[in-house]
Formats: sequence, structure tokens, C-alpha cells
Amino acid sequence: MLIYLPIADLPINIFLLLAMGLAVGFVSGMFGVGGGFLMTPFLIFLGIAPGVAVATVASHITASSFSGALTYWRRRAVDVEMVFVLLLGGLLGTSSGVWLFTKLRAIGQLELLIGFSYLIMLSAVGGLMLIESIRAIVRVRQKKPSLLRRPGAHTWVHGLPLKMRFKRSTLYVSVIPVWGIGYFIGVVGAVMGIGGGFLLVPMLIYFLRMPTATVIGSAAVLTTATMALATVMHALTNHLVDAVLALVLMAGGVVGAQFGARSAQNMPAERLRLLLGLLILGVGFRFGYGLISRPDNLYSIRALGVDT
Amino acid sequence: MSVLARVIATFLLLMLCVPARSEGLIATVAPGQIAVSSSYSGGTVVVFGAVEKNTLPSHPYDVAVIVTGPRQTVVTRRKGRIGGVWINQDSRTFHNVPSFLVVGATRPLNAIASADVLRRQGIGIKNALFDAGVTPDDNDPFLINFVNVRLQEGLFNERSGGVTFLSRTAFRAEIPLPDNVPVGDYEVNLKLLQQGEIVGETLSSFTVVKVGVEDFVVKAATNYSLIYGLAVMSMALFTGWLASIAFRRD
Repeated sequence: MLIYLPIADLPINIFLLLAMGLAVGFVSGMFGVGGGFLMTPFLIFLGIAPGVAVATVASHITASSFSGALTYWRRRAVDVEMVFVLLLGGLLGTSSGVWLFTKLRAIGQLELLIGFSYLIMLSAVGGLMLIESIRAIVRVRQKKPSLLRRPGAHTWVHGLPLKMRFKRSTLYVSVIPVWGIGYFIGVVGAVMGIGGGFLLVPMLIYFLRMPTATVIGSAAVLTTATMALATVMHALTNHLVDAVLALVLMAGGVVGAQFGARSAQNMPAERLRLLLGLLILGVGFRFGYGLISRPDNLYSIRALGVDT
Repeated sequence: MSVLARVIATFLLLMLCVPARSEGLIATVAPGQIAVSSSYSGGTVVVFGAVEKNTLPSHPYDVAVIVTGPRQTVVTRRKGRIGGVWINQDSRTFHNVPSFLVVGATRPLNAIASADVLRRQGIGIKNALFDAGVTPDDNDPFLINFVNVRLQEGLFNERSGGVTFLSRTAFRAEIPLPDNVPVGDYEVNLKLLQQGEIVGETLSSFTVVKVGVEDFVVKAATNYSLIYGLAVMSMALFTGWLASIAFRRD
């Protein structure tokens, strides 16, 4: 059954969209990520304009991360102060990201930026995850004890001024790196159409030494806020948010996430990370291939508006 | 210049402007309005026409139909390779070009009139692309590829068939509309030809509108973008909340 997407301006099979929502939701539930890094590329490969894909997925991630955020909130696994400071950077970052998006779209280089961002971010994160999880699997095979993370260990980040105490996370760190991380996630999320959970969680753990008990819940709350703002701003500046597409994706996504979360419970953590790493790396390479392979048609056209 | 010479000059000018023989041409388009709804997957517009003449024509008629959609400004970009990566480099902007252009005729275009007549009358994709007075450069790669992309999208089409005579004077033309047809006012220009000369013409029209949810969403997104954005955001938050309640496991 074909459904006409009003903003994307093309008819598409509704069952294909629902299945995509389910599949991406399954992956996001399984790995505890938003799934934007899969959903946006899928929509682009389906023929939906990159601008519409990025803007619409922002609303899809708002739904999936809000559902996760509420669950963590009930378990009291959210560091409210940390989220607040992250948000100061995050909301500014989202605004900068949408501004950058609009400018690059006007000069025809938006797809290039999206392609490059995906290639660099996903290859780096996917590669690191792959190496780390293979090491962990080898350690398990050799029956060596896993490397203990030292929560108290200090890095150069902890030498910065403007320190603040975060009680829930038992942290005493400078707000500068917190703002920086929030800003970075905001920009990246708005430009790439991702929530950034798979970037945010490792950054909070490695740079700030945030404990695992609060990191995922806090990341989910931050992602909800930045993506909600990104949805409104993309709608306001570029008119590219497709409500019909968003609704179908959300419906599939939230259901798929539940099944994903259940199937992940029977799998060892390092194998999950290995699979996620491979998946991220695969998507990154696909974008890299898209940048270097000769396009079918060197020419592309874009209507700027109706003449009277 | 004598008065006589001036009169002759005026008369000659009139001769050039008015077709040598003018015959009445009437046409009707059905349907007059195409509604693009959520299940829209393309359609057809049919033009019925007739030549108003009491006597039988001395020579067989030809009919050409030119359908143009709303005009727009379009940027055509060309990718080039920089350091192994394909990047949009050059671009050309075309103003006032139709978003939709279908040209049909009873026979292949070069059989119904000379290239000169076709160009002056705007019959054929390249001839109809720009408003009269602009001669497009046939070797411009941006123009050629702009037309090619539109042909692939099904928004431009040149069909040698498409118009058939039902009798000596009555004809029928079919214009296929693809699923991505732009909304707006469409002009249907009919040209009646006989022995390679224009002997009559008439103008008709139809509109393409979005209806139902599509219309509502597009209007909301463009005219009330802030409310629209907030509404989509609320919908997302509501869906997320619903999921967290429905699948609660504690």
C-alpha cells in the first residue's frame, strides 16, 4: 500500500517504512542507542532528500529517546544537574547545527557535509568499538580478569577551572568540558540527523569518568531535549519535517525497541558491542563509498521556488 | 516615406502576425482539477477538441499539445572530482522554467512542421522551455542535463503519439501525470496545423491540488511552521510516553 509523504513529496510503501522503523527500533533497543545513524541513511538510500531525512529523523529520535528517558527517570538513573549543564551547551549546539545545515543547503554542499560527517564519525567510533570488544572477547577466552576501570582516575580534563559538584554521579569536574560535549553533540545531531547517543555515552564515560549507573539515563534526557529543539528548528527554518513520515517511523520504532531490548538480555555485553561496532563501521564505509564512487549522474537539480 | 509605403508596410506586418488562414479550435480538459491525496500514484488528463468548420478540410490537420506546469527557478549543479571525492562544483540557474512540460502531437514533430515554425510556436521541449524571445543554447551541458534529469523523473515528456483524430475534425489528447506531479496551475496550449502552417490555436487549463492530510500538512509546514514544529515535537513526546507506559515492566 502506497502512502504519499507530503513534505518528502513522493509515494512510498507504508509497510516498507513500518518494517524499517521496526528494524531500526530493534537495533536501538538492543544496543541502547537512538538508531538515528541507521534511520537517516536508510531514508536517504530510499530516495528521500537528505534534508528531509535529517529533519524528520530528529522527531523520530525525540520519541524513542523520550521513552527511554522516562524509564530511566523512574529508576532514578538520571543526573539532573549534569543534564542541565550539558543542555546549556547542547541547545546552543543544536542552533549552530541547524544554521550550518541551512547555509550548506543553500550552496549545495549539504550532502557532502552529511557524507563526510558520517564517514568520519562512524568509522572512528565503529573502529574503536570493534577493537575494544575484540580485546574484551580475547580476555574472556583466555580467562583473564577484565580490566578494571578506575572511576577515580584523573585526566587533563579534571585540571580545568570552573569546577562543579554533581552529586548523583559523584563527580567534581569543570563545567567547560561538559559544555563542550553538549555543544558538540548538539551540532552533530542537527547536521547528521542522529541523537548522538553512541557518541555521547563513551564521551561522558571516558572524559568525565561518569559512572555507568547515571550515564545512559542522562544521555537519553539530553538527547530528548536536543532532538526536540532540532525538530522545531528544522521545521521553522527549512520546512523539511515530514509529519506523516515521522509518525510511521515512530510507530514502528517504539515497538521494535521493546523486542530489541528483550533479545539483548541473553547476549554477552562484549559481543553486543562487537556487533554494534561492525554495524556502525559498515554504515560509515557505505558513506565513504558514496563519496568516492562516480555518481550515476554528475548533474543534480533543485528548484528554488515557484515563479509567479 | 510616402503614405502609401507606410500603409503597405503596416499591411505586410499584419500579414506576418496573423496566420494566413485562421480556423476556430475549441477544446475541453477533463478533469479540470487533479486531486493529489495520500493514495495518489499518477493519473491522466484528457483533452477533447474539435475544429469548427462547416466544410470538410482540404488537407488533413495536425494537432500539437503543449502542457506546462507552474514556472520555477531551478539550480543545476555539476559534480567534479576533487582529491578523489565527488563534490558539487559548477552550477547554472535557470529562471522561469516549467516544473512540468509534456509535448504531444499527432505525428512526429519534424513531420508536422519545419524547425523554424516549431521554434516560433514553442512546440517541442526545448522550444517550449523558455518564454518567447530566449533562444536556448543547444550545446549548454547544464541545459541538456537539466532536461535529461526532468525526462528521467517523468516531469518532462515529448511524445510523437498522444494526440489522435477521432474524425476529420475531432481529436483527443492524453497527458500522463506522474506520481510526483507538482501542484499549481497548468496551461494546455493546443496548436492546429495544416500543411506545416499554424491555422488555429486555443488555450485551456487545469489545476493540480493537494487534498486531505497532504494539503493540511504542507500548508501547516509552510504557513505555520512554528506551530507545526511544536506539534510534531509534541506528537513525538506523546508517542515516547505512550511506549514507556505500554511496555512498562516494573
